[in-house]
Order: sequence, then C-alpha cells, then structure tokens
Amino acid sequence: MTFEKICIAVIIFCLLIMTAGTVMAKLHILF
Amino acid sequence: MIAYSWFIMPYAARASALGGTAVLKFHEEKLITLDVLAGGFGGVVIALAAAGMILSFRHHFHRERERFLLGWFAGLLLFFCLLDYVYRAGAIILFKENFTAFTPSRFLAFMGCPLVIFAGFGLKNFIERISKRLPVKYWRIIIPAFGLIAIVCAIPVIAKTAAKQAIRPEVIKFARIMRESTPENAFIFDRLQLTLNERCWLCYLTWRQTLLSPVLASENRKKVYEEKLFYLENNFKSPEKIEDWMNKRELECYMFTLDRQGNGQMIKLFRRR
Repeated sequence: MTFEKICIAVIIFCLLIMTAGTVMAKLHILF
Repeated sequence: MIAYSWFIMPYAARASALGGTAVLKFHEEKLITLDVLAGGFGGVVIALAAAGMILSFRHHFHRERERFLLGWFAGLLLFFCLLDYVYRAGAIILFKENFTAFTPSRFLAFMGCPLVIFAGFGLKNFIERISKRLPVKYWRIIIPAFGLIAIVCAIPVIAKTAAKQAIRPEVIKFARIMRESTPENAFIFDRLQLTLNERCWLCYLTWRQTLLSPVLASENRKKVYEEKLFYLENNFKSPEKIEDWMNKRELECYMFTLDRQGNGQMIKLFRRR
C-alpha cells in the first residue's frame, strides 16, 4: 500500500498548493 | 530504458541550446486556477473521477492496473502543480516576472486520460447501484437521453474550436491573395482587424512570415521575440530601420491593405538592395 499512499499524498499536496495559489490569484497576492 | 535512451540522445545533446528557447521562460501561458481547471474538465467528470478513485482505492488497489492509473494521474498532476504554481511563484519572487517552464497545460491535457478512466469507473458503479432499483424499460430511455445531452453540451465547444468557425471566410480569401502575390521570403505586415486566433493562423494560411508566428515553447523563439519587439518599438515610425532589418535577414517586406471597395492589395514596401 506504500505506493498508493504516496500517490494519494501527492494528490492532496497538489490540491492544497493549487487551492492556496487560486486564493492568492483571486486576492491578487503574488500571482 | 537502455533501448529507448538511444532515441533520446539527439535531444539530450541539444540541451545546451535550451537558453535560446522559451522552455524555461514561457510567458504566454497564464496561471490556470482551480475554477478554470474545473470548468475545463467539467464538474461531472471531476465528481465521477473522484468517486471512481475513492471506490478503486477501497476495493481494487491490489491490482497493478489501478496502481498504474493512480501513479500516472498523480505524476501529471504533480508536474502541472510544480510548474504552474511553484515554479511561477519562484519566478515572481526571484525575477519579478510572471513566467513558467514548459507548457503546464500539456500536463493537464494528458491528465484527462487517467481522469476519464476513473470517471468511467465511477459512472459504472453509479449505474450498477441505481439499475438494481430501476426496471430495464426505463434504462432504454435514460441511456440514449444521457448520450443526447452529452452531444448537445459538446456542440458549442466544438463550434468554438473548429478552424472554420475560428477564421472568417474573407480572411481565408485575403490569405490566398497574400500567398499568390508574394515570394517565399516575404515578410507580410497588414492593416486588417483580425482576432488573435486569425492572426495565429495567418502565417500558416499564407505560408509567409507574419508578425505572429505561433512557435512551440521548445522551439527557438528568439527570432520571433526579436520580430515582435522590433515592430512594437518602430511601428513604421522609422522605415529605414525596418529596411535594414529586413535586408539583414534577406526578407522582402510587403504590406497588405484594403482599397475602398474592400479588395485586398499587396504593396511592396522596400526594394532589396
């Protein structure tokens, strides 16, 4: 199950980064 | 790996030329936010894919094919996220410029493949659960209706992206005049009111150099940038500079204009020395 867990962790990490980036873009912070 | 590395060698040998391309400094693509991404894939596909992923994680992950699918999806998402968000943020902080590397939307486009497979798995499970409650005669109406709705929803997108809709017939006619009345080394300026899409297509329709030649990020874009910058800086204020510039590159400069009747005509701007 290690490989699946790494993949799920990567997907969650990406979603978090993308959510933060989207919020920052909407608020015109950085992006 | 060893067998395929042979094919990669010619490309790897050209790595030193990367600086001349826009691969690591790609300005044309803006940040793709989550709402744009969700709109692009469609809410239904994302919801079904999420359901399919959770279901396959619960029941089927002992199989190699599900593991491959998940790894494929996670890898593409990671590259998209790192390039479009992390790399871009780094570029803004360090260089005060908004650019990315490669073309992050490509990773999204390929991510569509594992995503729809997961969505299909989610849909299959959804239908299996409901079909136990509904008699077959209803399914004979529901499935064609579902297909019809999917086709109708896709029509505006297809119409928008199809080349015939994207370029007006008169632009195709003008492009033919440009191609037939100029030599192969012509550089064509025009005073037409064109959309960005039409302007991108113009150099393909004319097969001549124009102001906007769409070149891939991995190709040498230095020349294209030079041309754009040169035109923006001079913009016919100093024709002699353009003449020198064209002569250096062995190009012949033409201007396409419309007369009062709306007919296209080519005017040679400078004579080659």
